[in-house]
Amino acid sequence: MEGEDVQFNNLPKMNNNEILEKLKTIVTPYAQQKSALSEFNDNTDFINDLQVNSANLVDVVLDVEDEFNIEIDNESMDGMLTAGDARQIIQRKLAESDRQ
Amino acid sequence: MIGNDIIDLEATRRESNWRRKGFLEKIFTKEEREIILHSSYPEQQVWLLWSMKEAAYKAHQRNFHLPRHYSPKSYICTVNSSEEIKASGKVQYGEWIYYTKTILRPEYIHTTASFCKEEKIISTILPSSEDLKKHFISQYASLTNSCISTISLTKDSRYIPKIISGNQPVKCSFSLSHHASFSAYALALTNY
Repeated sequence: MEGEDVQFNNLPKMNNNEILEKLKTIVTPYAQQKSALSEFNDNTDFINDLQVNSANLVDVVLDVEDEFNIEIDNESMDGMLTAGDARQIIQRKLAESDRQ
Repeated sequence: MIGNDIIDLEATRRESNWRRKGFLEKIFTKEEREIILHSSYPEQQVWLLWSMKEAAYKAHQRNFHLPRHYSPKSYICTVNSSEEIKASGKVQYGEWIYYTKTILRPEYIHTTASFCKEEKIISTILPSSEDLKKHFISQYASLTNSCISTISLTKDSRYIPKIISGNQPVKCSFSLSHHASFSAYALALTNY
């Protein structure tokens, strides 16, 4: 339907910063290195910068799925090691669900 | 090449809820989940299998100088023998097999993984208040009859620790691990 902005997943369209902000909220409880949160950007590495332990990375993925109402397959999870990786995967999954 | 993984069990209870909806499905295959859910001590099974995957992943990454990746479900565990305080098994990743040995204590689980089935590995578990690197360097120096002051540890571009001896990188199969109250190293005795 031309000219319409239909949002099937009921979320308003989000820009990069908005997604990063939500991501930051999600990872904060798992970050053992809280000081690294102050410079949270695409390059922030969950394990090496934030010291999220690798079991909690699963929790991050589950929380992201819940928050954005998307499903992250194992192949995508494999590439989700930085905030930028996560942001791109989220945007891709949101776009996919928009097209359905 | 070898890998190791130490897990502080009390910390896992604070940090993770393995019963969380979707958690086991992200990490474990259907067969592994059956083993966990039918076990009389499922919590121990969860972290035993998890530590096997972690140790095997580290061994594999070091073997092939790979970038990091995060696909625990692709590492498929089989536990061959399990007594009260130890277990042994293997982890399959693609066509590769890593052989694991695990120590099971009420406070921690420690697994070492090796490409070679009969690899002789020494490992030490320390409280995290101790300096793991210092202990490891001391052990390495003693094995190689080197002077401790000439040995240091660095990390390469893949965040993998490497030994420098007298300003030269050294080829050595070892692995370090930390989790909450514990840290551990494992060192393969292949060359000594």
